[in-house]
Amino acid sequence: MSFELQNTDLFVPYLAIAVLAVNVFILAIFIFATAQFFKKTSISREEAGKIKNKAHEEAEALLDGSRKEALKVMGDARIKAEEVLSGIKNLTDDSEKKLQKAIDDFSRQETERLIKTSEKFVAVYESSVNEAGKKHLEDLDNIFQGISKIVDRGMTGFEKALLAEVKQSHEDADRRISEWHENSLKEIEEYKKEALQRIDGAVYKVLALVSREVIGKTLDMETHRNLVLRALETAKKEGFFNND
Amino acid sequence: MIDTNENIKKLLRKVTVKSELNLLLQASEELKKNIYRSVPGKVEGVLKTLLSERLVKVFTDATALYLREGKPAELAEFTENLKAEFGKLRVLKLYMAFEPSEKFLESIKNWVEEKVGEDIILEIQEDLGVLGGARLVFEGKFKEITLAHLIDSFFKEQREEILYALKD
Amino acid sequence: MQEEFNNYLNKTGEIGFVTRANHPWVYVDGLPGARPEEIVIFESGELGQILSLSEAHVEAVSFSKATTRVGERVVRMDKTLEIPVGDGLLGLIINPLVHSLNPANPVPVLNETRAVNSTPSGIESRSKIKNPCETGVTLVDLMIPLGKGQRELVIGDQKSGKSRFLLRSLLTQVKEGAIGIYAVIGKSQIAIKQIEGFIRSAKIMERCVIVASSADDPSSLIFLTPYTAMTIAEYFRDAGKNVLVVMDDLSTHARVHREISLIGRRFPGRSSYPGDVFYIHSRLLERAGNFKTSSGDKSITCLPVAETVQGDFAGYIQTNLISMTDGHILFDSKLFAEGRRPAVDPFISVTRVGRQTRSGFKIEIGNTLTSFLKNTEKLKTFASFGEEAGEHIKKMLNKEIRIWQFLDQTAYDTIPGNVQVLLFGLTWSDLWQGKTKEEIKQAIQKIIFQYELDKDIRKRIDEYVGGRRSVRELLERIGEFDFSHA
Repeated sequence: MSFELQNTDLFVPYLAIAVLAVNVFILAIFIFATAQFFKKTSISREEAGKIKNKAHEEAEALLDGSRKEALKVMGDARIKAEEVLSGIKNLTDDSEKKLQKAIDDFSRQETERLIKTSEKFVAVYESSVNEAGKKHLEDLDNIFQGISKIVDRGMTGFEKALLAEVKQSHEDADRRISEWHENSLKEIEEYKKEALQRIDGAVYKVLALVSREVIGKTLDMETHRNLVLRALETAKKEGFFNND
Repeated sequence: MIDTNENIKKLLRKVTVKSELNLLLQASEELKKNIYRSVPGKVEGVLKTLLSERLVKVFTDATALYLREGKPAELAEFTENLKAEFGKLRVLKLYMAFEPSEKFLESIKNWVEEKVGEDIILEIQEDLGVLGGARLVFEGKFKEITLAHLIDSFFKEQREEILYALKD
Repeated sequence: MQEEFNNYLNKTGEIGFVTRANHPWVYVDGLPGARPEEIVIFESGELGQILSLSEAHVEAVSFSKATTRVGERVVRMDKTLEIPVGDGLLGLIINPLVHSLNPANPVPVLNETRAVNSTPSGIESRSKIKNPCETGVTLVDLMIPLGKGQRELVIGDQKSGKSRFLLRSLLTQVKEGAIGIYAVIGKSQIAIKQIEGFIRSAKIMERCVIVASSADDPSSLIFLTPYTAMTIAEYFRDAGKNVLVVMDDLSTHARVHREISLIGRRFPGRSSYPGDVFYIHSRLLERAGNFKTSSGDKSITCLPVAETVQGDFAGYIQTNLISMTDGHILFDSKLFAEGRRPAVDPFISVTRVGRQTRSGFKIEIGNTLTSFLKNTEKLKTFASFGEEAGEHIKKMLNKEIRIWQFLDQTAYDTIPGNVQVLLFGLTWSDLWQGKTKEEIKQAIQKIIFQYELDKDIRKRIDEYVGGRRSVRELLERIGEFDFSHA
């Protein structure tokens, strides 16, 4: 029991120390590897830089060369073009002159031709106008004569018609006047009759009123009393007081 | 014992026209109001203002018995019965061209009582348009036996002859 | 007037005196031969009617605006109330006693008179309702069809579009050859003027009669209005014409009857209406129908109106009228506020005899519309839950919008029947799917105007619609219909 306890007491520190040592070893390895890595990286970066610079220089040289070449080619081309252009220009000038001459000739010819043609047209036109004028005058003359004949005939007819119309309207007017006259007489008669009837009616009413007034006032008291009693008797006879 | 009904009948026989009936009703109401008051002359004074001389006499004759014998309850019964009897009367309305005298009214009343019945009361209205005779209204029925009606009918029927005669 | 009074006095030999007057009631002493419903004439020349007899007196109502003097003499005329009738009434606006309300246009002398209160004809003189009664309003003609001779109640709140519908129906029927009679019962003078204005501007006045009583007329006169209108209708029916009678409105008529009865100390019943309030309307409406006459079957179609308060159509008078008519068209003020014209609720409205006058084709159209609209109503409540609606549902809802647009009739007075069917076909067939509201509105407008103005197009539409027997046939070639001019 005590031995185990002793061993146990020592084991733990030894373990701790072992673990620590291992850790330190691992750390050292790690640091070494990292240093190597960074070294390699810096080297490769330097090399990369060098390579880049070199490439850059080569490229510049290439570009320069090709630029010079291009300039040279362009110069040659320009010269060639100028030569061609000057040749064409000469040619164009010639052609222009020839074309202009041809056009002038053509236009002169056409103008002459047109003038001749138009002269012919004018002549034809003038003659046809003259003929048409003559014909027109003849026609007008015929028409005028025709109209004159018609007018003569018409005038006679018109006169006759006018006279007949006037006669008819006279007759119509006479007839209408006599109708109006008759109607007016009739209306007057009717009016007279109505008026007389109204007068009669008025007279009749006056008569009725006067009768009432006179009769009413001429009765004496005795007659009044008798009339009342007679009225009662008559009513009794007619069954007025019976219960139906 | 006072026979109220007999008393009322006697009273009614003396009344000719409806206006008198209304006045009697008013008088009986007045009497009823004063029945328990002990001022004897006052009632007569009021009656004289309401009724004509003839009617005052008629009324006081009818009611004197009650007052003399001191029967207020029976007097009250009298006024109630009077009202009821008035309601039973049939009205004959006459439109006349003149205002009739009392004597003439009496004669009409007698004729009506004799020929028609005793329970009839007259209502007279003056209407100059009647001219003569009378217009009668009885229990909703109407009859015109007047001079005015005669004249109008004559003129209507004989219109043409009259107009013809006018022309001549 | 005095002469007339004296004539009747001498003729009957009876006289009465007014003992008590409680306008319009008059209590008369006398007149032993009086009968109920007999006419009496007062000394002033005014007329009255005896309503009841008692031991003590005769009870009558006066038709005069002025009150009656106590003691005034009264004479009976030995006849019931009669009014003069004849063709001379056409184009006039009259009161219930047939006096012209326009002094410049008096009532001419008419030879025939008829009693205002008459017994309705029995069964033997009636005929089955066979012919359709077009109103010119698409929604009604397709979904709630009416027949000639039908009594269809028009019920709704005030300002819900009832009068506009009635005037359109009148216009359509008069254009088809019927006689129109409009009874204005107790309305304001402005309302009467507006009705007259519409009828004149539609140029149908010469085939119409307006029987009007204004709110300031005596209640006894207002009470007579629908009876006078029905009497005039019976005259024209017997003269061989179909008649459309509009009674605007019977709820006012019932109120007036209540007023007269309460003043006359009649015992009040439910809602203070007298016990005979059902009878006064049933005996009036029974006078309408389809009748056998010497010139064939002629009808009196009646459109009585009942006003409700806040949509309550379960009121006393309203339920009375619903029970005695052949259906009802309900105008909903909520739909009116939403802008729907006409504001008719087609699901609650009923027509009991209108469908038997329609062909199977038209019935099919009506059923199609009704069932579709009902289903989409239900669908709307489901769609409002917020979920994205499927394509099919969207299509249905869009179609529903198009259908309501087709049924809307704000702008047009009347739409002829064949045009209604054609427009239904165009709407139903999805030809207008994808079109905007404005485009559909213009298309409808164009078709209606073309039908009115172009005889050729009218003929083609009539032929096309007339030749169809079912909705399927209608839709078959509708896309090919040519609306261009000939």
